Amino acid sequence: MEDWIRALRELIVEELKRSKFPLPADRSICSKWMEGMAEGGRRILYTSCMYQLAPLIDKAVDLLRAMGASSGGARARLAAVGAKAFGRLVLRPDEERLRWAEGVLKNIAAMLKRAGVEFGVLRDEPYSGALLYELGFERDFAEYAKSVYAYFKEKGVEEVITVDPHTYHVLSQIYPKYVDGFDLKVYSYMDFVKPAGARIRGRVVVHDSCLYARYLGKYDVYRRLLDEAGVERAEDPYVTGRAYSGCCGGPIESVRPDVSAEVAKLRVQQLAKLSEVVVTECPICYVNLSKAGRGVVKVYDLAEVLA
Amino acid sequence: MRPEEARAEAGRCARCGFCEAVCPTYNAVRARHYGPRGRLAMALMALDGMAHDRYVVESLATCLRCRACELVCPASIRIVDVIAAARSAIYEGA
Repeated sequence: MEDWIRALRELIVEELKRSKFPLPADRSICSKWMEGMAEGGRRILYTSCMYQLAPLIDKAVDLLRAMGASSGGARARLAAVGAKAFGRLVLRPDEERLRWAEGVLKNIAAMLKRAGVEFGVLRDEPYSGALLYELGFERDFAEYAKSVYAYFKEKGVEEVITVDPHTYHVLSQIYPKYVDGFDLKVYSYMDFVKPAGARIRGRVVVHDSCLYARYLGKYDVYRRLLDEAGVERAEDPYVTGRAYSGCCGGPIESVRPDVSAEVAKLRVQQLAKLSEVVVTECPICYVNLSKAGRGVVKVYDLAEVLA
Repeated sequence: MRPEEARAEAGRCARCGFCEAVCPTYNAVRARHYGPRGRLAMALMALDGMAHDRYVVESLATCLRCRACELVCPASIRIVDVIAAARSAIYEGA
């Protein structure tokens, strides 16, 4: 497992240095959804490519499993050798998943515009580095975070509106610890939008992002947005309470995909007791639960539900 | 969190096990080193130089950092920060 983690670190760090993207992929998928939007400005809508990346993580994890990353021991050592070959691949997401990501991001942009928020986008936006921090490679993260901050300053950015919990967490709470003089104001799109209605009907169950619920104080925010949109929620303190609202397993997908998949399966079983319709606020939760919940629950992102 | 602070924090665990009820990886694997109280014991081992033990690495590398355990810990131990410090000890020799 140590060999595998070392190989994973090398793969991510090398890829970030080369393309400011954590996986070997075609970067155009990051900016495709931005057509017709203003470039730059002091306030930007920053995706960190998270929604566009999520379909790729799905593919990458399948590949990791095929290479034996989940089994530990000798096979993991083989997998570590395989990581070099993995780095030379160019991953391509499924068109359907990519359309989903673009739809979510376009809807977030439209809701912000309707709420009177002015913003621009950056077509060459770099990845935030959240994965490095979350896997525990703090020194690599610190170095990378400084380069991302320098990029924002060079572009004249003062305020950043994020769309996912991982980017919001690292920018608002972790960057200030590692980047001297960090002075960007960081928001979530949820801080601004005022939903006029909902795109789906019936009772839903909310799957909380661990970061939004237990690190960032947003547990009540997306519930309020759903209430304002007229969406009925099913709640149970042992399924959706602040402590019992379990993780989707996503953070260890690249370390132990087998354990991650089991965690997701258990989470789907809990959620399905309350509703067949699950609402997530994080692209990683969306991908993980969609995969584990195939045929059991239908998963939506919050920005697909709100209108 | 500095290593000595992490050691002191982990040392406050009374091993009550309330944390295991909410830990997603413990519930998935049902092995003690996949749960928070096991991870605190493993963190102490990592911080004391046993960074290359297979179970120590497996235990610390698979924490989801979801923080569910911290909400139910009667001693309010900063479990995730301890695990992060121990991970650094393994990955970066801190």
